[in-house]
Amino acid sequence: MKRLVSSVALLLIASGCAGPPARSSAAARHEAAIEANRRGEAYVRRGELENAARSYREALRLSQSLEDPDGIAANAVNLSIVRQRQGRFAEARSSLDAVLEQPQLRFAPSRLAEASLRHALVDLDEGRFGPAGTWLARSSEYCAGRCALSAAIHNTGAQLALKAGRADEAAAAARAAHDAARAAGDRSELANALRLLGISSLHRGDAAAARTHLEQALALDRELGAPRKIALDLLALGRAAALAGEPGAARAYYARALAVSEAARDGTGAAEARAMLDAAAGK
Amino acid sequence: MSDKPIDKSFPPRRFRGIRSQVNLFLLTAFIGFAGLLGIVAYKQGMFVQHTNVYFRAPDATGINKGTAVRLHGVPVGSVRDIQFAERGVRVRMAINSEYVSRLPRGAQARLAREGYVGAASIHILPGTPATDRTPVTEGDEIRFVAQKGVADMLDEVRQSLTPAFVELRKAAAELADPASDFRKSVSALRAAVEELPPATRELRQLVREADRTVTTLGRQAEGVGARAEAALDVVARVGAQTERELPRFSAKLAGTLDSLDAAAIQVRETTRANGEALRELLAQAPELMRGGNELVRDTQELTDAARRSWLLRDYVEPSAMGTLPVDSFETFGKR
Repeated sequence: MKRLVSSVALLLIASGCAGPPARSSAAARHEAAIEANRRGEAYVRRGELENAARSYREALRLSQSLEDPDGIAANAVNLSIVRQRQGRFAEARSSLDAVLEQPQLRFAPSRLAEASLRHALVDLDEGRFGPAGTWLARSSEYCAGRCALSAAIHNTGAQLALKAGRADEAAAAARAAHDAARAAGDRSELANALRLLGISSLHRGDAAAARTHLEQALALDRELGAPRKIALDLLALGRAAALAGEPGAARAYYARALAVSEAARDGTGAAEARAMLDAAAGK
Repeated sequence: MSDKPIDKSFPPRRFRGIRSQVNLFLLTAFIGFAGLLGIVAYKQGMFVQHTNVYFRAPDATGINKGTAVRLHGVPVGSVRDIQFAERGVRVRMAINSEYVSRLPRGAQARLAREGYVGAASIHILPGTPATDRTPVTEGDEIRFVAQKGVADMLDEVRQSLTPAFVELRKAAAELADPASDFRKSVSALRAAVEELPPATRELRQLVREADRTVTTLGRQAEGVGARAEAALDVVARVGAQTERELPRFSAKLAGTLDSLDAAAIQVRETTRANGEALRELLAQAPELMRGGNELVRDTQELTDAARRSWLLRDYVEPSAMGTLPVDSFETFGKR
């Protein structure tokens, strides 16, 4: 009897030391996907876009192997952003097919809105304004006017309207984006909306209003530390100064935009600033 | 003895009013019990209005019914229910409606513990200004993020160190490359040192010939002195003196050159030994680098294993999948 009691006690103590079974292969793959995603993020921070794309592709593959809708959507969107920054638009679009062309998987409406908006931005970047409008409308439907992307959707609509030369429509969209961004506390999209309001005012010939909006956008972009957008604000401010009949001030803004773009190693921005500077100098 | 009849319509004096006393006692007990129930219910928050908010987690380890929900460390609710959902669990939190206005939709839930052995609780992170700031409502779902683990931090360190290792490997490869500037310089130095002994030998030969010439000249001068002793006495003395001093000087010079030769041999030996040591070091450098890489990999595997162990697993969870911010001006700068 004593031996039986001792055995039971020993068994109880041993069972206390026992752990649950090892983690499943699915959990390991999920962790590997997260690791690859984090590597991609680190590469993006360092500006190593090709390595970032490789990491995000791996994370996307692992998420697809688990049919993890959230992981698939996150990595597809990340991959499309990286490919767009590389100028590889076809690949940027095809990476989004993992979300937009998969009816058998159930993605959250916010994820579908995000992927559709990314598609619209890639199309807009490539000058395909028709498809960009279609994808933007689809994104707006998924968002249903009440999601974190509302401001970005309105801002993209404003850019499309500007491309089509509809300054009033662009201003209305930018104003809606401004309200949505302010309500959501999204300073990046707030700055974008202010910049678009400024550019719309420029198109309408209102230099004073343009300056007001652009200076607010510039202040926000400085706080956010976005050199490319600072350069865009300065270029637009230069155009506003030129419109107000102040060529000296305009040249000063263009020179500042050039300095910012060169310091940020933004070749496209520097070329644009240099062209504006040359045009202002009458070369 | 007279038997007095007992009047049964009246109870004994000591039981008079017992009914009202019992009723009073029962009423007091009932009121006390009801009050106690009321206090317990109040403490349990039954009179407080709650809002149900949900989150999904891949793993419910450490989360139980009744687990406290905290916002900035202040208890604002508790976990009410845990249900199985697709690839994980769906957790229902009952949040005190008084605090709901401080809980934006972009908030995130995180499982945390008070120390390594403390009780688990759900911490609500209010999110960043870039996230949705509108307050949550009944039935809303917020995101769940796991705590950053030791392996994540080690991975960051590894990512920071990798470029340094790559640079070190490049430097080692350059040192090992026969066509590199360093190896060329060493080869040129060795060639220069190897050319030193022949030069020394030629110099010694030259000195010997000079010695012989001077001796001959001395003898000739002696002959001429015999014929013109008177006129060239001084010259003869000088010649003799020169004849005496020069061999000594030549011997000294030869000794010096011998020492120089020995030193050159020693330098050559030392250089050869150093060269071999350097070559060995260069040969070992790639192996060392491989060892370093393996050490990093082993450390990572050890960390992964430790992370999977039952003792640490509850505290070290993988991070959530990150999404780059979607910027509506991603395109505008590339016109």
